[in-house]
Amino acid sequence: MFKIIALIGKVILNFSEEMGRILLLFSVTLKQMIIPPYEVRNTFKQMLEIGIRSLPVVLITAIFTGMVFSLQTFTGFKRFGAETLVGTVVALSMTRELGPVLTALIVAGRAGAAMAAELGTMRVTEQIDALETLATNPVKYLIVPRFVAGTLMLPALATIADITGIAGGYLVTVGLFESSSIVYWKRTWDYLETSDIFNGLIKAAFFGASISLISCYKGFYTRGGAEGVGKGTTGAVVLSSMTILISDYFLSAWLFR
Amino acid sequence: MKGLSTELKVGLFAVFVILILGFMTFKVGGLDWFKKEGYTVYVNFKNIAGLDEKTKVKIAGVDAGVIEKIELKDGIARLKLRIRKDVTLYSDASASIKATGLLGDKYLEIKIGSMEPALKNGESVKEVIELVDIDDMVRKLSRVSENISTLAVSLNEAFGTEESKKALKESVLNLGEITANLSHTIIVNDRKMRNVLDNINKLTASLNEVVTNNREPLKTTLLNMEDFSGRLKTDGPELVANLSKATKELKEVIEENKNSLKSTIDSFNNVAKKIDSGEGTLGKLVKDDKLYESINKAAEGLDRTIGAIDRFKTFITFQSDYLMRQGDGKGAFYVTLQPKPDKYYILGVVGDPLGRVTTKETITSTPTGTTKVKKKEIEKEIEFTAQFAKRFDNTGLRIGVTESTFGAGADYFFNNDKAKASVDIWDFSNDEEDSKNPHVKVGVDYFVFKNLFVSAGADNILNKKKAGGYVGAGIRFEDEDFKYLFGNISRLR
Amino acid sequence: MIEIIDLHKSFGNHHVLKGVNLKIEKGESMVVIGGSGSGKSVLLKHIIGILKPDKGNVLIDGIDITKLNERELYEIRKKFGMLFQMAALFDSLTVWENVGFALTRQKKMRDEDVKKIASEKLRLVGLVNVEDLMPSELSGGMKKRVGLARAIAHEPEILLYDEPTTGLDPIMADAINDLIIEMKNKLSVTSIAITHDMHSAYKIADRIAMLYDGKIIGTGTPDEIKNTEDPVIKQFITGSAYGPIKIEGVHNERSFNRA
Repeated sequence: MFKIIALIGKVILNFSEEMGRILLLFSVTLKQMIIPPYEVRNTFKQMLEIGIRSLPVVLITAIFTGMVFSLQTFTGFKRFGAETLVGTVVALSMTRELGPVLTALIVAGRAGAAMAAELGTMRVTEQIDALETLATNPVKYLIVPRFVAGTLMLPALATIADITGIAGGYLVTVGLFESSSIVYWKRTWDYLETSDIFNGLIKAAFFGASISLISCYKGFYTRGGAEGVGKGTTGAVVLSSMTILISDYFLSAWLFR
Repeated sequence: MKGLSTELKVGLFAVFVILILGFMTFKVGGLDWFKKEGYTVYVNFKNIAGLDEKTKVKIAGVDAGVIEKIELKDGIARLKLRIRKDVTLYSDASASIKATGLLGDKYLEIKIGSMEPALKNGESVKEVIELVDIDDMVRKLSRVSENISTLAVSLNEAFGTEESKKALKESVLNLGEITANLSHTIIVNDRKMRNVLDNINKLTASLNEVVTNNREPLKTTLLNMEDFSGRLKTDGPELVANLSKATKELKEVIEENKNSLKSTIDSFNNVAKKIDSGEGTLGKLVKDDKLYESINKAAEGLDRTIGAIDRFKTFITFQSDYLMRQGDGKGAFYVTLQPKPDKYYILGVVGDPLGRVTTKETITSTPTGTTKVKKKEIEKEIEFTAQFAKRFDNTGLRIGVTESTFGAGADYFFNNDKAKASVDIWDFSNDEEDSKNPHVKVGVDYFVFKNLFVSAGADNILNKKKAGGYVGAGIRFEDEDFKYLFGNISRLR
Repeated sequence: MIEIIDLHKSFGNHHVLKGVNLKIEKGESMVVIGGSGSGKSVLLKHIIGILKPDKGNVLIDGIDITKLNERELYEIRKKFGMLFQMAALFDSLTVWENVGFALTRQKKMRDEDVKKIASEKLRLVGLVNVEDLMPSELSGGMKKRVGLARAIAHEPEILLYDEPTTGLDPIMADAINDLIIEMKNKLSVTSIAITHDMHSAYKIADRIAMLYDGKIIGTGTPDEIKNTEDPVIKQFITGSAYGPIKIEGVHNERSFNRA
């Protein structure tokens, strides 16, 4: 019995400690982000890595999500004669929810894991120490570019996911169910609001920042060789995904009041 | 992509994303920033029922602008509309909230109107058709339907049982008997009835003659008197004979048909008794409180929902006046049929204490001289009134038969129709000694309660000997009131 | 001149350094010997300021680096070059980018100039035509050489070697030893090496210091060390399993959190 309570206490302590360290790293990152010189080239490199390299997966996920979403809603809505609203439903759910969240989960699995693994390896092979000896701040050199790239690229990917999902919905609704294409687009654009899109992108930016920060944290503080790298990577993906899903609720509640 | 530098790739990617984002915001926002053209008009609504900013404004179903802003001003929604430049709204334009489909795709519909001048930038659309509250309507309709169903249940109860079916049959049989009796009576007395009518005709002709003859201006009362007396000598007996004959014949008719009339009356009595005791269907209908209530409620509900439509109204008026001069009462019963608020017919029976006054002059020659004895014969008479009336705002004009002679009248209604000032003129004949001039009556009626009125005025003012004040009271029921009245009576019983 | 005064450091309950005192003269080649997990690497990381001590001072040319802020510390580090145990080359950069890393970042030199200097430094450590290779394409010895080239690229005054010969075959190890001596002679740098390879220590050291149980238990020239009477040092240099040094079991060299 006491063991269980002790275990709970330990979990809470670990969690708090980890949170504190992440926030600490966050503040250091922000500080290093502001102080010149700026890591422009590294940032571009990370943008390429996080953004463009994730594009194929995001495209495929988004288009199929849009397709399956309209497939399901069309069948359901047809039962009460509201199939003209499929475009609206797809557009709203893609921009507000699925675009940002799915993109974030993909990036967490792909780029987040890569970040944690790369930084973890750098840690265990003393590359991070080497950076220090070469008078380079590893936070500035490694984490800031990833953080910036993640924060910028996720909204970009989410935008692409939004439009791809809507296009996927179009394919099914118009192509498969032979609904009117004019009605689909009209319903899509009529009911969507600029705030839907931009609030979705704000969420995406937050997810991007969280993913890169958590993954960098997990990689940067890796211990214990190859196994540690593996653990760090897994931890990064799990923690990022959890953060995305949990913060999504609160962000949505706040943004889409 | 291999040849391209990282920066270029990222740049291209960024441009691509910005293009998509621009496209989407363009499509969604519909060019919010560029679209400041067109002009603004305002419209105030009591209830906009979930209309939103950026909702479409449509004219004949075609997009003509958007709702730019919704403000709350003193509890009223003030909408700022941006209307397309090429659309002109006129000063009698009207706005209403419309919904397509049950899912509530709402929009603002505007009818542009046609009355110059056209609305300018910043002006308001004044004609607003507020949204019908569907909830309210549904609630009312459901209440009505509830009442109707209760009514149906009651009717079913009344007619459904074997007993009531039998009773219904009996009633019908009774009615059949009555009609048979009536028709028999009429056929048997056809000839005599005709006689009566003929006599009445003759009487009227004579009366007519009298009237015609009297048109000449009369120089002196004496001359008149003489003239009258003379004519009476010749005409009088015939007239009296005619009248007495008619009366006699009427009496004969009634006496001859005493039996059949009696049986008819008996049948009616029978029916009335049955109804009274709640026997049979009609009886049940009369006795059943529930049914009445149901009908009442249903009627009420319908009335409220559908609103005031021009209904055919019927009024029944009982009136009783006390004529001060004569010291006698005068009763009247009128039925007013009103197919339109400004047009009605008045049918009535008046029991006149001074129905017909005839003067008999007996000249007795004695050695001392001639004595003239005048003897007035006053008959109480039932008189008829049938008038057509037309109402212009507060003034009503009536024309037709007043108390069995030609007459006309005018009414002025005031105090929300609670009061009425009337002038009536009739009886242009001068066959009565004391009333050579037409009968003119001036008076005021005032409704103390909904159904009760009092009246006062001056009667027969042009004939000095008969002129006098009168006071009276009456009750007036509308067909609407009967419903309640009978309902209440049946409940009381 | 480097002076370490009463340096203490512990990781959790593990007290690694328990008052280290060591003085290294300018131009001297100091080798610190000690068993696995004795804290040699920790000591080295304190000298370059990657780790901050719990107690004690590290003076570099009279400046106490434990009291410096980040910016000043990075400035001081430009005096240092360090060769890591596994070379710690940046995987994502090519060989020449690795070598020229400090130049690119600190001196803001153009790529062509950096590459030229990198080639020069690589030639100095005996490598040619490897500039455009990735670190993963290199053998262990080559990595060490590249690591050394990177360490000397910005012309430091002090060179630190973390187990320079570990993981290399004897011939390659000796070549590295020769290279270290060559660096010292050519560049006239102060060098500090940590190792448990006695052969290497004897070859490159002007003086040797023995780290045991968190303290320096003896210093001396290679000859003095060879002839020491100290039983601990004697056991270590002769490589005997028997003696005062307890074998705690198998230890992995750990990376420690610098925070």
